[in-house]
Amino acid sequence: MSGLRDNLEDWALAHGEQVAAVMTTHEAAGRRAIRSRRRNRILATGATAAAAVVGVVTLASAVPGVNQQPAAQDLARHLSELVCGDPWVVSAGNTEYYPEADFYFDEPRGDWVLTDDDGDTHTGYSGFTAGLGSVSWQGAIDVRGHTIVRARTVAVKLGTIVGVTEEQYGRVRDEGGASIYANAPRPGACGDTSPGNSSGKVTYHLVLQLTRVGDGGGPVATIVDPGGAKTVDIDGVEAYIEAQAAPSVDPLAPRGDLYQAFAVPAPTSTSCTPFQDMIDAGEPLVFNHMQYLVTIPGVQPITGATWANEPAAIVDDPNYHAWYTDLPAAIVAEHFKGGNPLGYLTWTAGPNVSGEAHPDQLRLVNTDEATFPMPATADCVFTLPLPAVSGAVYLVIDGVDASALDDAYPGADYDLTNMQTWVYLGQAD
Amino acid sequence: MASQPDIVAELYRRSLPRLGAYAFLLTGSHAEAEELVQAAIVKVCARPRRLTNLPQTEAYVRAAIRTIHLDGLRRQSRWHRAAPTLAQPDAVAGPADHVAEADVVGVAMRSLAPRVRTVVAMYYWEDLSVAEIAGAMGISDGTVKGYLQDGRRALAPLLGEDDGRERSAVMEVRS
Repeated sequence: MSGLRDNLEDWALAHGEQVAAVMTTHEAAGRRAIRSRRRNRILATGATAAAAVVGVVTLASAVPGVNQQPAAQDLARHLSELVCGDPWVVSAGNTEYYPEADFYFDEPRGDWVLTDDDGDTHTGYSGFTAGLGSVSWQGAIDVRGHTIVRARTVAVKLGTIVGVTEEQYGRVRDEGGASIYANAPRPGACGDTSPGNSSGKVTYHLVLQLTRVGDGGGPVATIVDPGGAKTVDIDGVEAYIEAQAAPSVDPLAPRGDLYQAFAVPAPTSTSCTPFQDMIDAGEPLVFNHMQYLVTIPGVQPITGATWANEPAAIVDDPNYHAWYTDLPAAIVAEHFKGGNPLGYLTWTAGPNVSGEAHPDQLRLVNTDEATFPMPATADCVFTLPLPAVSGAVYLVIDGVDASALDDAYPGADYDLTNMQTWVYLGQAD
Repeated sequence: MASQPDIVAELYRRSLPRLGAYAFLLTGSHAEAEELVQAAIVKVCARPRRLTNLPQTEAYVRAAIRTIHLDGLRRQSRWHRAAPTLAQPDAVAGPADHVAEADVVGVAMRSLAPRVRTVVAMYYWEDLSVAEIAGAMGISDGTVKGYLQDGRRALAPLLGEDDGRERSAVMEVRS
């Protein structure tokens, strides 16, 4: 009897056949792209020749039967050959290569739309700050014929391509049209190369290509800049690229008893190590979560012994109370070796896991009763050596300080259900 | 021995259904699968390596499909990390994708988180082990197992239970 694996393979193959049916039309484009990539690779490795040669676009010869209408030149026939560093020599207009009786397209209708960081869209704009807005060409085209619509946008600065997007696809079956949503690149979005990584004015161009399905894969029409190109003044490009390249932003170092905290959704993964998995995935992401400050007195140097009987914090007042002292707590470290990666802690003046009590102090310590609500997991077996820990250490509290969040985000509409607090305690010793 | 251009032709003639199936499993979209396979073929065939036979070349392309897809997931993750409120909508789905949505398995696959779908594809299509998937994705074995459980939970009612041909047990042991 077939199981999940066999049935999934059968199902995927059926879709693979459909993908392949369309992709057979891609072979010519693929060969062109392979040749282009090889040529670029050769140019890139020929240092002395590069300065003289880079920037020249090699064009295939014109296709017989081309009905060259007012503008678009042959460069636009090869979307894959739109690469950074090349001159932009294409002018607006339509080119229909193989006029056919049953093939028809109408001028696309649309515009360059700016989406700001609130998600609002604008069409009357002259510039924006990188990272706080993005531009896309949004519109539609009426096409008759079984056609693939490809779109590519480029950013051009002083006549040179300084940013390109990957091809974006839509498909039309026989009658009707296709909607087009083509993101525009930021300056410097060039794959392996990065010319033009600077603020200033750039002009966005849109190239659309219509390819018939089943006719050998060649484009039947190219449309350049329907409705016109768009020139915008972009600032903050350098800072945006720097921020994007950074793998993460470190949380603020503790200042006295003040610690940076993040309101983070509780894990839902059924993994044996859900918090460790979150850390592996880069959590808590500084940009992703609401942040506030938490005061925790008496935090001790964190070592592997904190997972056993050493306290994470000592307060010389057994009656000390804060919003977190009645909530389950756990401790996690960025790098962990040995034992259970989650240390269960509780605030108590009573005995720790070794039976050692300090009635005159309130301690955050591992006890026999300490627990932490976790997603149901498969069987998880942990051995119990004293762990070795290093890197960032977080105290996870099963709840959040709602009043502190209200202060930090006045008027914000948020849902605190299943939210936990990750307090950055600093680096493990 | 077939020359490289012949290998390219052979790829397009004979390997596309399998490559397309894998890319579709990873992406859940016909249009994205086409783009992914095309990018992988170009990446593999443009490199100055000797491609001597179809199975070898197809294996290279399959691996390239995986790495390009994983790179995309990471870029997406970095983008969300840098500017989560600026996330762009995915590519506009084509008519074929709407057809795929009428397929209940397709709906289930598209409902999976991209990372879960990726793990399911790598495990069931590429026959990679949990450890291999964890290594490729830069996540822990436990996370891979959790993702696999999520995938099975969504797909088993439609496709049947896993027949037990996993390559590793589901027990996590740390030492």
